[in-house]
Amino acid sequence: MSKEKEMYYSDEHEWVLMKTDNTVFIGITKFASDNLGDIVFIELPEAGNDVTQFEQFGEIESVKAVSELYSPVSGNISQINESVVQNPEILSDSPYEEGWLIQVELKDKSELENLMNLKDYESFLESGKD
Amino acid sequence: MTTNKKTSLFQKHVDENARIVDFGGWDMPVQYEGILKEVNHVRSKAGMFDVSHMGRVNITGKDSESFLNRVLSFNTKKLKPGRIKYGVICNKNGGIIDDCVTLRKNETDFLIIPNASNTDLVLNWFNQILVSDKYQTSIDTLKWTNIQIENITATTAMIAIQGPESENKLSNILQTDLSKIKYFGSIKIKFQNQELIICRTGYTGEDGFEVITPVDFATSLWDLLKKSGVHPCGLGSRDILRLEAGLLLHGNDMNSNTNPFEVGLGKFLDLSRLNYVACDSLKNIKLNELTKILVGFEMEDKGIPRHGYKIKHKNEIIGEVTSGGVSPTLDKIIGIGYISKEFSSLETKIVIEIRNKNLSAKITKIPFYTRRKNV
Repeated sequence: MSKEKEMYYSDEHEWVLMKTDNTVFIGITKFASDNLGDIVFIELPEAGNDVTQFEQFGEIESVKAVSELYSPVSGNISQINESVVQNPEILSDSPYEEGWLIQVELKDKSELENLMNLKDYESFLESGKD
Repeated sequence: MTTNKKTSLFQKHVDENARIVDFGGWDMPVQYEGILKEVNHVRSKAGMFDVSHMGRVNITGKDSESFLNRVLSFNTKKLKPGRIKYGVICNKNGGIIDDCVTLRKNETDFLIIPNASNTDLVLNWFNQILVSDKYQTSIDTLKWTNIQIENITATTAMIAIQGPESENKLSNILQTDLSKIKYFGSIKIKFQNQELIICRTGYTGEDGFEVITPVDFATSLWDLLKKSGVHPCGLGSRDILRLEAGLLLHGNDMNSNTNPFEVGLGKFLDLSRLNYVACDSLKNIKLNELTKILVGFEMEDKGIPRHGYKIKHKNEIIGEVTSGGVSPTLDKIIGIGYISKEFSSLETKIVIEIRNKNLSAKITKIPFYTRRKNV
């Protein structure tokens, strides 16, 4: 699980992984996908749209509830994962790899400093428990 | 902070890693391995649900039949011992306090199963009637002298076993031939020195049983069922199963402001009984004057209709969704809701407003799903 160690995490349970020097993959964490349960729809904006750090960019609808997706970084969407939109179960099966949602060209790399590393995210999850 | 109530099977659910949610003041499992998987399991094999949170109230004594005849929507005199009947409990205005099944154990003893969050309301309503009737001395039949109402919810547990394999699995476990119990029938048996009430009822649209057991025996029975291959299921799948089968959920699809006609439960009313508390007001409801009516619909666009979403026709708001969800059995997205009667005919195109988007749907018949009955 080396990739998870390279990822950045938001407190809305999204992850960011560097693809190249200025493009990233964005997805949701296993914790988030487990909590959603059976995912029915994933709604994403089209490539070419801008996203803003910590602002909503899409929705995930599961059998039980709707959850908003918040972008962990600002930038321009270069690609969306069509196969996860077509087959949402990919997200549940592989949230960190095949289940990525969008790729974004970063506007400001320093925004990554506003996110957590794996260790901090794990303690964040721990602190959320009763 | 108030603590939620827990059933005697709660620790089982936790040990088996079920996801626990609050349901009407109870900590209940919403899912084990996944809601859709559990739906499929019940439709194709057998699943079990802890439904101990539902109320269990004994009504006993010589006057119980005539008292229940005053508060239940059907004629209790026609209910034979060992038989079960579904009905509604209405207030004096005809509003639905609860919907529930009633089991007639013998000549004098009945058991009613109110919804978890309505059990106290039903008990209060019964007591209110008992007290107020005392002063109506002009009506002879309303002097209740021999009736006991006992809430046995805490001392018993209830497990629902649902699905085509239920009869076989449960018969084997209990070493009792359950094939002789008819739909909406029941028997009482002794098993491992425990008295069990076995009802051929359910809330899934499948064949199945609901077993009432002494509270101490619940985990043993759960373990036996699990060992025989009956899958534990949560309330999430139960909600989808009941929606597919067109079964209503009180609190969602009806409440004390809706009358039985609006929800299509008119067939469960016997208004020939003058002593029935809601008789007058329900008789005054003219069917052709109903403004809203409960209908089923299926989505044509992608989106899940949820409780409270608006139903529109073109741009006009004509109603509201009361329940909706994914139906894995039909591979459709389905819902039910109230709409103005003029738009209620089958195949009518309607619009569901889902988070500011207008998504199209059409009126369909309920139930959405009917099981194939064995010959």
